[in-house]
This record gives sequence, C-alpha cells and structure tokens, in this order.
Amino acid sequence: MYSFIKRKIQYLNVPGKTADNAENVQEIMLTKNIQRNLASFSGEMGVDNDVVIRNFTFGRNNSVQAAVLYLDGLTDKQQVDKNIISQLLKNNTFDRDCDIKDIENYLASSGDMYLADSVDSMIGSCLSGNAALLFDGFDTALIIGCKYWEKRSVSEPQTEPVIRGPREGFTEDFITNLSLVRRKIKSSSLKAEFMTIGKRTKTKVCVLYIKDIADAKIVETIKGRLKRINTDAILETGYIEQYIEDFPLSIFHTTGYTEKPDVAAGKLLEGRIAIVVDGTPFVLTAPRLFAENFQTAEDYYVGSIYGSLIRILRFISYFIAIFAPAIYVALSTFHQELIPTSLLITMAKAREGVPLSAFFEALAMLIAFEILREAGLRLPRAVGQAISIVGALIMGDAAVAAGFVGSTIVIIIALAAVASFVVTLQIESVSILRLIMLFLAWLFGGYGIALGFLGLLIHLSNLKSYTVPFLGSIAPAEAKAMKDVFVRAPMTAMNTRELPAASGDADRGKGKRG
Amino acid sequence: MILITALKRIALIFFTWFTVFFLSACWDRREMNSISYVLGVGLDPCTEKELELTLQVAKMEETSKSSQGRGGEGSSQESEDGKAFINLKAECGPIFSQVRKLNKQYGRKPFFQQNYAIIFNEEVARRGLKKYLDFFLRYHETRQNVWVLVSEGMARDILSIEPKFEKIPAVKIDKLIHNQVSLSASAGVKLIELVQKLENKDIDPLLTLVKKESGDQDEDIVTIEGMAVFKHDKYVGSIDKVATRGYLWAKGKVEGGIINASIDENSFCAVEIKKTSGKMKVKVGEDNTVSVSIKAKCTGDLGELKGFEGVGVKDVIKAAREGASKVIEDEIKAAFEKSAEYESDFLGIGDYIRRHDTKKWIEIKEGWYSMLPGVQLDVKAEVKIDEIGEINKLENPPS
Repeated sequence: MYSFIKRKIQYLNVPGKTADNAENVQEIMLTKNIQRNLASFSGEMGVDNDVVIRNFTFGRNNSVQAAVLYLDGLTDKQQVDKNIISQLLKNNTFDRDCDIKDIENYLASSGDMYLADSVDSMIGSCLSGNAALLFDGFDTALIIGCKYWEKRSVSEPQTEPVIRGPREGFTEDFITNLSLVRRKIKSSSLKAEFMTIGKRTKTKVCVLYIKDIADAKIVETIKGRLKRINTDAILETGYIEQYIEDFPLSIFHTTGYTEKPDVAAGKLLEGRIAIVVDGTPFVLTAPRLFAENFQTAEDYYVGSIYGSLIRILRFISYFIAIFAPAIYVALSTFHQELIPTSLLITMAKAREGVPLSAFFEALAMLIAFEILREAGLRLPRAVGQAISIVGALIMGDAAVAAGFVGSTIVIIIALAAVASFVVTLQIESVSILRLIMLFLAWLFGGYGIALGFLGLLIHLSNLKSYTVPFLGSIAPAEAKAMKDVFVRAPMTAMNTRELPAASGDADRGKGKRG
Repeated sequence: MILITALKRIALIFFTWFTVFFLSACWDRREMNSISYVLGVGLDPCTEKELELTLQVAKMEETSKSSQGRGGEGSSQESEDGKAFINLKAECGPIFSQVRKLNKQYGRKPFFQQNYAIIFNEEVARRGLKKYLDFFLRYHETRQNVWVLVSEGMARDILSIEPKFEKIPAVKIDKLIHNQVSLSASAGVKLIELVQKLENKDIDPLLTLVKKESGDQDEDIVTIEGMAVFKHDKYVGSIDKVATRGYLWAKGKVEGGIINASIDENSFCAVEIKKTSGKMKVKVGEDNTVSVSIKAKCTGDLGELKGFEGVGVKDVIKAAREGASKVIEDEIKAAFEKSAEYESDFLGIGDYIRRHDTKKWIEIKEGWYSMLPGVQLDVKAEVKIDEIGEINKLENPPS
C-alpha cells in the first residue's frame, strides 16, 4: 500500500520535463554595417531606457566608426571611459581592414574579452553587465567584461547567529559567495561547475563539490536534475530546491541550506555538494540527512561533551515541539488514569469553568501562536518585538485570567513553541506535524499518537535525499556513523567520513592532535 | 483487468485505513471537567444486607478560583467550608446502582482510576467481603493496586476528618500507610493481594486497620496500626502492632522500624532495623502433628542505649543482640498466638503444607482450624549489629 502511495508521489516527482533548449526564433546575426547592427539591437532592447550607446570614431584619420553599448547601472562607466574609449581614441593605426584580434589584443588591459557574432548573444552579454563594442566593417562584436553594480558587503548572517565561529555570511553576489568558499578550502579538487537556469532570469548557478570526496553518482544526479529544470525564473534557492528534490511534496526538505561559508565548507568536506545561486545569500547543500537538522556549526567549535549535550537536547526539543500538545490532549481526555493524582487534580482545577474542550483549547492556542509568530516575523524588528510581548503577555495571561483557556494549556503550548525554535531547520515540519498529531490525539487518544508516530517513521524511512536514505546512519543504522548523530564525538575520533554520500577519500586524517 | 486490480488496491487501502482507525482506538473521550475524581471509597452498613457508599471526590471550584483570583492570594475566595474534597453519599442499595445514582445526582461521572483506598466498615467486613468486592473487581475503572482497609467505626467518619497537612483525607490515609509500612507497624494490602488470598482458600487475609481517634487539640486523628484478621472473607478480630510485626517477621516483609529491647530493669537498648529476612518451614509428622519453625534475621544499628555505663562495647553489642532477638521471637509468638486464638491461618501454614505435602494436606484439611492451636512453634531470631552510632565511648559520653 505504501509503495502505491510512494509511486504516486514519485510520479509527481519528475523534476521538470526535459528542456528543449533549441529556440525556434531564428537568430539575428551581426552584419558589417554598424548602423544596421545598432538598429537591430535597439529593435530588441527598445530605445529611451537604461541602454547607453556611445558612438565615436578612432584609428587612422578617425576612419573606424565604433559604438560602445552597455546598460546603465550594470557596467563600470569609468572603466569604459578609461580603458576602452580613451584607449581606442589614443590609437591612430587601426583601420577598417585590420583584424579584430588586433583590437582585442590592443584592449587586453580592459578586462576579460570574448567575441559575439549574433545580436542575441550580444544582448545577453549586455544584460549581464558587460560592454559590447561594435565596429563598422566588422560582423563580430567585442564583449568586454566590466560588470559593476551596487552590492551588499559581507555581513553577519541573520538566520544563523553564533556565539563562537566566523561571522561572515554569504551575500547576494554570486562571485563573492564562491570566493568565500574558496577561501575556506584552498584545494584544486574543489570543483565549481557553472550553468545558467531560467529562460528569462538567466540565473547563474554553480555546483560546488570536492572531487575526490563527493560521490560522483550524486554529483551527476544533481547536475542532471539541474539541467532538466525548465522554467523561466529562478529567484532563490528555494525554486531550485523544489525542482530537484526527490520528494517535493513531503513536509521534510531533503536539501539543506546555509548562509554561512564555514557551514558550506564543512558540508563540502563531509562529501556533500553545494549549489550556489546568483542573487541570494543562501547556498544549498545536498544530500541532507535527518540528523543534519540537529547539527549546527557551533557543535564542532565547542567541546564535544557540551556539544553532545546540546544535541541531545535538540532531539528532545524536537519531540516536545511535535508531541506536547497532542500528549496533553490525549492524557486529559482519554487517559486521565496515567496522570499522577495530585497533578491531575491541579490540571482539572485549571480546566474548571473553561468553555472549550481540551482539543479546541489547544488548537486555539496553537493557531494564536502561529499567528503571533508570523506577525512578529514579517514586521520590522522593533515592531515585531512589541507584537510578541503583546501576544505572549496579554493573550496568554489575560486569556487565563478571563477563563477562556486553562493555565495548563498555556504552559504546554509555550513549551512546545519554544522547543520548536530550538530546531530552526525543521520549523516547517514541526508546525504541520504538531497539528496532525493534535488531531489524531483528539480523535483516537494515545493510540492516535502512536499511529501518527508510526506513520511519521514510515514516511521518514521512505524519504531519500539524492539517492541517500534520509534517515541515513540512524536507519539503516551504522554504528560508526553514530558519532555525529545523537552525540558529537571528539574531533580526534571523527577521523573518517561517515556520510553515505562520501565515496572517495574516506580518511579525514589519522585524528592525531596538533 | 488493470482497472480491477486498481480497484482492488484502492479497496484494500480503504479498508486497511478504515480498520486501523475505526476498529481500534482508545474509546470514550471525556473532558477533565466532566468527571469527578474518586479518591476514596467508604462502605458502611445501612440495612442487614445493603451498604451505604461514601465517595470522596476532589472538589474543583474552590482552588481554581483562588488560583485565578488575582487579588489577595485567594483569601476572599474561600468557599463555604474551605475543604478540598466533597464526600458524596448515596442511598442504601446495591453498590453499582448507588454509583450511577450519584452520577445522576451530581452530573459528573465518578472516575475510579485515581482511587486511593477502599475502606470497609468492620460491620460490613464481618458479613464477608466477597459479595461487596464484586463490583470493584468487575468494574473496569478499578485499579488493582488500590489500598483496602477495615475501619473501626464508620468509614465515612474516617473519610471526613480534616487533616492538618494534606488537603484530602484519602491522600492522608495513603501517606499514613506508606509511613506505617516503613515502620512495620502495619502492612498495606492492595486489592490484588486481597483477591489472591481470597481465591487461595488455604490462607486467610489480613487487612490494614484504620481508626479515628480524638486528638489533643480538638482535631481528629486517623491512626493506622495493627491489622484486621479475617477468617475466609469474614472479619474476626484485630491484632496489634506487636503481632503485626511478628507476622511480618515470619513473612520476611519487615521494612524498618525500631526494636525496643529491655535487657533488665535498668538497661535498655533500641535497635534500628535495616535489613531483614524471614523464613517459615512447616513439618507434618506421621501422626499429623504440625510443627512450624520460623527463622528471622535482622541487621540493624544501635539507636539508643540506656544503663550500659561501664560495659565494654562487645558486651553491649552482645546484650543488644540477645535482647533484640528475644523481642523478635516474642513478636512472632504473639502473631502465632493470635492466629490460634482467632482460628485464622493468616500466616499461611496451611498453604505451605498444601504446596509441600499435598497428600497430608488433604488428610488434615478438614479440621485444620481446630488444629491451629495445637501447632508447635519453634522460633529463632538472629540479630546483627552493624553500627553503633556516631559515638563509640559508651561510658562517659561527651557532655
């Protein structure tokens, strides 16, 4: 039966139909007439916009007519002035019969250069921030790389703050992000493979992996899936994630993300693959296992005993976050006999006179909490804090005082809510699972919770993250891999790569100190 | 063909989930504020055959208001009598119908799973427990580990005392039992043990004895001391705490307490019991004479000494050991004498014979109760002293 459902899910799971990259539109080739070329360029791009066209003549007796095309705001104007136009104006040897290679050679100091022979490719280059140089009498355009735009400097990431550890975070700039990773891993085996996804956005995507660690099969799988994405826009890694995941409909994400270069580097060194996407400070890492949700970069920077304690705490918090409201409802409506008498009487007294039943009480509080969380999240920080104070103090306290809800449920929901913030990576699944468990507890009591838990386990063990079992190293259990799951073993003990994905070079060094 | 397979599969999925969800589940959801939590049950006689039920339930409104009252620590919110419990009384009749009547009367279903104690009035106990236990055993909410007690005086009076420390009498009784068991002044008997003994016809049960006494400062005290002796399921009399401990020695169930041994007129020593064991052996002779030998062992510490000035440590310990052994022997003898007096085999001698010498048991079974006084007893107690306390100079203790 599960295989049936699984097949249904997998049916929906084909990541994009094979893209037919062969465009039907016939390409407009460049001609030797500069005016015609400019006309066809303007015909495509339009006039009176951010396109800058600068005409000038240069060469022997100013015999060569030329034009520089670029987009305002994407290109470094100073560079165009100083390194291209001024350079060419200084020259008086070129004429219409010289080779374009000579001009390219002459301008070698201006930046990286290549030739384009169609209007489309020229436009494409301009849209990426390059300057295109057209000459009368030549049917090729010289593309000169002088991209420059405003960008955010490297700053501390908001999502993954640390007490100890590097504070730099990825930015929206693609090349900066790559360089941040490169600076962590100075190895020639760190491979970066570029591709462009999105018919309209033409987003640059880079697949990063360490060649002799990462499993070639997984690298191929990911590259293949990326290539098959057929969409017109990629604005964030979230788009890509949903296109290439094995089970896009699951509430569990099987692709990880991070905003911190040290985390990305750590994942790469474990044999994972990183996907850098232009325009977002988030970098995808894959495959991502269930246990990774409970790991943070700081686990590895603090002592192993404290690291292990915190990690166990995270697992406990995860379970509290999912099951606390459900267990409360099940115990208080089905299994009163399981609560110690004195606690039961206290709980019953708190419920006395409350108009809602235990389930609706819990549901109302849960929904109130989710509303508060969402409200606090989207508002500016200063207002957001006010919201949480109003929500927590006024709603919680006043609701109890007014007798709308019992005080016990406020404690339970608060506990579950705080616990869910411990495992931030799973906040989506926790919110959903908590509601499911609550419903099951309401309808079927403890039996429902057991059933829900069983279903959850079945689902988790069915999940795969890029051919690797999602529950990897827990189920199928591997004793050796356990040293980085529930506990964080000392650095000296973590001398092998245990990720199922890591095929090559399993040895991390003999684990000797110093 | 494919369609049929698909249909079959869908039907299979449907029925599997249907079965999983609807044929098995925890049944009967009830909200916490729709039930009343029974904490103690009292059974008193009303007519020749029927009983009157007293249910002690936790009272809900009172503390809920004071805990939510935001004014002056709930002082203004005291309810009429300030009690944390209510004793529900029903009319005479069969137990189950009384429970249902109470349900109707108060609008909340009595919930028996948190019950601490079932208290039988001695009068009821004299009539025999079996017929009254039926409801509790048949009812699915009764816990098997609920205490069963016999009260001297009305059970409802026991349940309406006002304890100083606890809020609820039934909770007080539970705490008292635990305390008395740790002092070996009484033994707690759970429903399951009682039923096991009633089912095994060759051993007679003992039940915890509870009584209400008027205390010094116009407060009523509940005392739990000694045990109620039964013959089959009928209450025949009580034994005091000395005989109770004798019974516990014989069974090896002494958990603690103090042995007060007077060595002679002037000297006295108290031994605190730490570790014990006890063994009973029964022999049936050729002529059907029964002899019982009981061996009790005890390890303890010296708790208090008096009148041993100038005596060496070894001699003191020897005296204490002998004195304490004698006390234990006397206690066991007391229990045995009571067993013979009431013709109740609560020590389980008959049960022992049946298990070890079934043929003989069948022979003597008939007149067993009349044989009880004639049973020969051989008691041997052995006491070891582990520690002598914080001071070792017995003469001239530091002043």
